[in-house]
Amino acid sequence: MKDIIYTRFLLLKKQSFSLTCWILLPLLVTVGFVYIAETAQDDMNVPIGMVLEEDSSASHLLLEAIEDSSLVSVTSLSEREAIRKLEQHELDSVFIIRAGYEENIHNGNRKNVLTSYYSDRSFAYTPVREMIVSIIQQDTGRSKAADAVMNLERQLNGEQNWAIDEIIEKSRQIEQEEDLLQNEFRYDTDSEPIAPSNTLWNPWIIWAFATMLVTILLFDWVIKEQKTKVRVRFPFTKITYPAYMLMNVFIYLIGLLFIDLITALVFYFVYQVTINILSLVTFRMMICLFAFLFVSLIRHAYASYVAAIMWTLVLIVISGTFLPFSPNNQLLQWLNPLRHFLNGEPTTFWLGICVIGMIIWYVKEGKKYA
Amino acid sequence: MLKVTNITKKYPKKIVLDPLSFEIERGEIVGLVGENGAGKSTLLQILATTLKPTSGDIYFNEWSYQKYKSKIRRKIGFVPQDIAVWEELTVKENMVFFEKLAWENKSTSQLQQICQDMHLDRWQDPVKNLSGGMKRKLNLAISFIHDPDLLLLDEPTVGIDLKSRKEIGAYLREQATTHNKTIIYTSHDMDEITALCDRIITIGKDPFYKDLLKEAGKEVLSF
Repeated sequence: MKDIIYTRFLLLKKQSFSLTCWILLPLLVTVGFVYIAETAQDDMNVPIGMVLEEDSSASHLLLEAIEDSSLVSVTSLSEREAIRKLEQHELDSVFIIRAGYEENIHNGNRKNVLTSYYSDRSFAYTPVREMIVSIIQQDTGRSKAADAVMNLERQLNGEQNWAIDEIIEKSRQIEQEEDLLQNEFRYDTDSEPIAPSNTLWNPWIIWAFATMLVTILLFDWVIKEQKTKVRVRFPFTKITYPAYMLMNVFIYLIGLLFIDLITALVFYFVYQVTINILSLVTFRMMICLFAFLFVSLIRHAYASYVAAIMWTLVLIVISGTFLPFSPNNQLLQWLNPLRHFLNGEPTTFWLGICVIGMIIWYVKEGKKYA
Repeated sequence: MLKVTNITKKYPKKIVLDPLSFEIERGEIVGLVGENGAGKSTLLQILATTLKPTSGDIYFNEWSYQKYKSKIRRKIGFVPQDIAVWEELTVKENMVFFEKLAWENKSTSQLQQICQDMHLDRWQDPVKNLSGGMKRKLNLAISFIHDPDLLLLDEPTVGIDLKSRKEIGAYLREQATTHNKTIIYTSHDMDEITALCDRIITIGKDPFYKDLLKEAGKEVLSF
């Protein structure tokens, strides 16, 4: 094995730069894709201006609640600046939290707490306004409830002497701890809900498609070495040609697995997403064997590049990840070699198929050299 | 050392080799000539164990080709007609690459010595930058790495200059006389064949080569 590793090293060192680029490409593509997707998502948020006439905890809490929405992009600024930007259509709408907001809310008064501006091009004014009004109503309701609690305490001669801010804060805390509404997101084939992450896109999904394509392209060495004239020398060497090829697939597998583990670390630290190691290892094994058989069947380098791109596009379509089309056809789901990995499971079915394919290839090639 | 008895090679629509028998002793250089399609390369492939004859027996050092194929392969050095080397690698890297796959280990200095004996001195140069003659020498040198007893050379000097041809010829003669190597050699160059070989086997129906070699006073075995 040491000798085979050395011979592979001799061949690969001539292309070390391009090889490094290729093996890092899935990681780079994923990071780039997620970055662009999130930037594009930010750009698509509705830009609104918020003006705070009052520097109170209630007005800041309202601002934070609005900023937490994934639909709007909030800019805090002065009224004059906000109106100028609205006139220049840099902002979709402007909302001014009027002085006395906190007092009005505590008094249960919802009138004249907010002033809004919009232009003839404000396409999202109404839904944003409704969102803000609903937050104010929630805060008003919370204040009314706090007031009712204080009245009850007075009537019942309680000794707690809670301040209204304490009751409101406690109410917020209870809301966070005991949400009345809980939602879970899962794909229709998943048994476990998807854990929330920092990103809109699961980077492992992007990585899986990029890896499928790049691994097939990377395995063009199989075509080159199957066609090389050097092949006639193998009957007179200590290793048979099929065994030599198989060992080289193993060397690639180990090298790529090492890169995959680095990728897992990068994704963990950057996106806080984890991966089942068994799922990753079986996926990498399957994909290396698949790439080997794929290029061995096609036998022409350029035809294999085109076929690899087409194949990846087919997988993207049938997986329903990027396009709003997810076929429920069970057969199509089984034909997708990425299915198990995308579901976080070990890739068993396709790995089994690839192992059988490799055994057939090995026996067939072995007969040629017998 | 090598005994060939009544071997034939037939395909469904073509007879490539009629029955042929011969024996070759250790240290002999035997030329193999014939018109294109006469079966020279087929015979060489059969002797190299990479093609099975339709009938007949072959013995190498009294080992049957049928029974001891892998053992015999260790003793064979095969030089293909095409230049079978890695073009991107240097001469040194090519030698080291095939040494790693060879039955016998050789040090880098031993590998370099093989090349130097053939006047292949551009040790660190990539093969793609070498002349045709240099590439042919490397093609030959690789086959000597595992120190084979029987060398099968399929037109090893085709398309190269006279100087390189002479150098390769001298090297092969030295291997046969000093190291007792047995060499079977195919070529279309009759001057080269008559100058280098102890005996010549002509195959094919065309009497041209047979007549030519008789004129040159060489011992000829015809099939």
